[in-house]
Amino acid sequence: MMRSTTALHHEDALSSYGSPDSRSLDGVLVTRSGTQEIAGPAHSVIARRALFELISAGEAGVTLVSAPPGSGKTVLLRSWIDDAELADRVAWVSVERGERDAQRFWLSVIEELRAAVGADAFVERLTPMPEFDGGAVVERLASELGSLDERVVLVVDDLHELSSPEALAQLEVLLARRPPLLQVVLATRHDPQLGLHRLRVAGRLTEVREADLRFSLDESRELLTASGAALPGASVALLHARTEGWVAGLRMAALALAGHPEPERVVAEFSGGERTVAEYLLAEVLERQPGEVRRLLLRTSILERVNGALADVLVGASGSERILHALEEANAFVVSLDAARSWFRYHHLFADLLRLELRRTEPDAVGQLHHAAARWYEEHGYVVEAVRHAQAAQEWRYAARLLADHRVSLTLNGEGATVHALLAAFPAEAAPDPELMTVYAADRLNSGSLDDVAAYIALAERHSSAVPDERRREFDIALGLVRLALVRRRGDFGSVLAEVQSLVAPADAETTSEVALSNDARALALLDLGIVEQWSLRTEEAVGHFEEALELARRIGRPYIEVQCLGHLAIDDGQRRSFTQARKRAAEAIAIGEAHGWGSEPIVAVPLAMMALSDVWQGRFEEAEHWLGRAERALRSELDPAMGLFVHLIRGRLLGARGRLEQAIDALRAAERLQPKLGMEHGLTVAARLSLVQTLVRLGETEAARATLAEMSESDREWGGVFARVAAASVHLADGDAQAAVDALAPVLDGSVLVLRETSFVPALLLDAMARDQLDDPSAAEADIEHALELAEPDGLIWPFVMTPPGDLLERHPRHRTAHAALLQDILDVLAGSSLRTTELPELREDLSKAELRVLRYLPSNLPAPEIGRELFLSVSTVRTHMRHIYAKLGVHRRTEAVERARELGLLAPSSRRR
Amino acid sequence: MDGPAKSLRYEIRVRGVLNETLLEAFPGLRPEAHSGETVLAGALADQAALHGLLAQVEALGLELLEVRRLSA
Repeated sequence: MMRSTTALHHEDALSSYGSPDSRSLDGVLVTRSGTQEIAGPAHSVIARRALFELISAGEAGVTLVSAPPGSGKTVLLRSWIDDAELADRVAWVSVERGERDAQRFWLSVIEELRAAVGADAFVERLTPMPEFDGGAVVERLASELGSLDERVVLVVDDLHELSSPEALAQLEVLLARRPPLLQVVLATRHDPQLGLHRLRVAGRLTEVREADLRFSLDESRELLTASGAALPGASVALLHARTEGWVAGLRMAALALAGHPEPERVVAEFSGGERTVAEYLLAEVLERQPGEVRRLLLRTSILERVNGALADVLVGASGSERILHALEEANAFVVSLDAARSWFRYHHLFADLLRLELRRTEPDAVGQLHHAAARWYEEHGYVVEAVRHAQAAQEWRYAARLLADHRVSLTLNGEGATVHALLAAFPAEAAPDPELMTVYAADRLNSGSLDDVAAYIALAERHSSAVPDERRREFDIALGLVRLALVRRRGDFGSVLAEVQSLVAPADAETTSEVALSNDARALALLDLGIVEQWSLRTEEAVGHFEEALELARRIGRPYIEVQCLGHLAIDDGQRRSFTQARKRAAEAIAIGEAHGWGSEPIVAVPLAMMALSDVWQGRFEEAEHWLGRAERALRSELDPAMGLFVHLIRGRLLGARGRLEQAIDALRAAERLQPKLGMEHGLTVAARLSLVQTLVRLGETEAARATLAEMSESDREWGGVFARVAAASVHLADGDAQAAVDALAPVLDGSVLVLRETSFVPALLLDAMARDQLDDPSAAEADIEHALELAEPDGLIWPFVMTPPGDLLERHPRHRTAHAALLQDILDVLAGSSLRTTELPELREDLSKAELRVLRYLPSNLPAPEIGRELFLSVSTVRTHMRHIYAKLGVHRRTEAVERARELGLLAPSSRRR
Repeated sequence: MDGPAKSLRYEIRVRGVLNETLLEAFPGLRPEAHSGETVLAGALADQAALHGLLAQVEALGLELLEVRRLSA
């Protein structure tokens, strides 16, 4: 085996914890620290050439480095990366201790991969958000990485810390679908359950195990020498035998022996004893440190990460940062986490041993230290850490209060799974805390069922007398917010409006102790309130709240709220102003969502649905199909039945407009079936029912139409306003009773029925025209048609003429007398079976060649270029050339965009992905 | 839950003689050291507690030699 001492690295000896900031792996030569107070060697890394070659040979597969703590896994991988000059092709992810948050894990994977492959080249950005669909994210990632043209290495270090079953299942999917140019290296303390046996059988798994990692006698000598702990050969052999080549043991020995006056005596004593290696050597190492260093190491061992200021608080002295720097330089199991070297972390094994030593020597201090750490973290805005330490100090009320006060921001940050894990750490005796109940309720909004949410709200209310006076206002706010969120999703509006309105009233010059709503909570409350108002037709108030929320969301940088405000303002545009405006606003919302990687998440369902609805109204049925398909895939009806109803309604209208009446009826009935999930009769249910009546009439099922209409309650018919009368009139007309139709429409046309938009009169006018025509009053019919065209013209509305086709009245309408000839022609074109197009979507720049079309069919798969080549018997470079041409002709830059675009253009079948 | 589960007694044998610091990690277990090994014995609530204990052994870099459930 070839060995050489490589350059000294500015890194930890045993293990390094990568973070986005500490990814620089260039072999920086560091001179030995000038600090006198830390005894120990400077840092050294042994080049383990045989292992490097083994890992490099695993280029085309998965590499598993599985060995107990302290085996030198991390250092091995770092030095391999360095040696193979892969630093700028590596995505390094260190799993946080006890990680239960799948989103946080995948975000760091994506972040690191983006850095490794060049930010926008292949992997799209993803901004954290409350609803996280890891399955979809992994699918997208696998597909994106299929376009890699150069090898990339994904290292997942400390994989054993990943305790999220979803994240592990998703990682297994990524491994199974791993594109050939992605090498995955997993470092872990024990073998993960990731279906690796399949890879092993297929010869695609390279393994580095405990025995491979043990230092040989020569390596041990090399390490000790490089660390300044020169020993005679016999002592080296003793030490090697005693540690059995265990790397952490050897490194601790090096630390204890460097500069020691009698190293041989220490080795002899150690070798003769029966104590465990780590503990014996830790004692030696600690003993050699000055008192202040020992104190700092012990007292900060309760932290996951430490910085100078926090350490000062825990040791009750200043100067900690200097000591931490010196420890890192002395290679004493301390590593900095950021480029500025302000945050540090101890090697896990070392930290665990220190913590035990602290518990033994200062048992009473542990709780106080956690207490102090929690306060420090809270003061500095690290809520999650503050909660963890409060829990460790068993200060349950304090921990609950922290969570209750910050849960909105944490959720918006996409840390819902972390909150969920923190909630699980409360013991049963902390459970009746009403403040904690509000957090449980909110937790279930995204992960559980709406019934659970309601149950926790009820518990919080029942125990509310336990809330101390000084916390009363915060409790009321937390409870009000979560009730509002529930009501918004269930559509059960009446009860909470007034109560919540008082919560979102702008904070005036109240003192800060009179806690005002945080900006995050306020923006979210305004949005939820607006939605509730919008569905209750309190449109003015709704728009006011949306606009306020939008402005606030932009100011505080919450795109998650911004997208939703824009989507709901688009609904309002459509209801009261113009679909052209609605479409513009919806497109803006979608663009913002896509820029954050949320293009297929539930929050873009509203703007996607509004794109579809606008296209339906304006006669662009093919485009409506595209947007509606996306809306349906993005939607999660079980957690937002009101939105589900909306999307089904649009589906029914679109099918009706395209003449597929029976399918339209199915879709409208599906909309109605969501009603029981809503707390009350929703306005949209009435709209779905009235659409159903008209569709039945068009299908010639007059009897069924009449029955459906008769089933409706008086109040629903009242609620339905113009549309209820239009539905009734269309039944009368189908019955051949023109006079009854005219009578039914009279209150509409004389203006005594309230409407949101004048365009709502269009179908009434069309029915009236037909009735008048049948009653032999052609000039009244002509006037109705002209009036309908006049109302429809400004917004280019076509759908009402398709839904309520006025026989041959449009063809007969005199061209020389109408002021709306162009619109009339568009309507007649659509009625004749064509669909309008918007000019917004660029046409294909140039038709794809046959060969390009063949390659295009493979783009939705994850096959990389070489495999597509094999399938098509083409060379890789030919495939790449075709791909370049395809991208250029489609006007896109990435494979995923090409697929999306090709689907829009009908060059590929629509996606069957998800639901 | 259906009442308190009956706790079970286990013996865990690890390599090396554990000193007081390391024993801090295993409260409630009775240590016994002989011939370079330590046996930790005691009652554990359930399998989850056992796995937690084994994770602790792993985290401290101890070599696990044997796990035994004692018959009551």
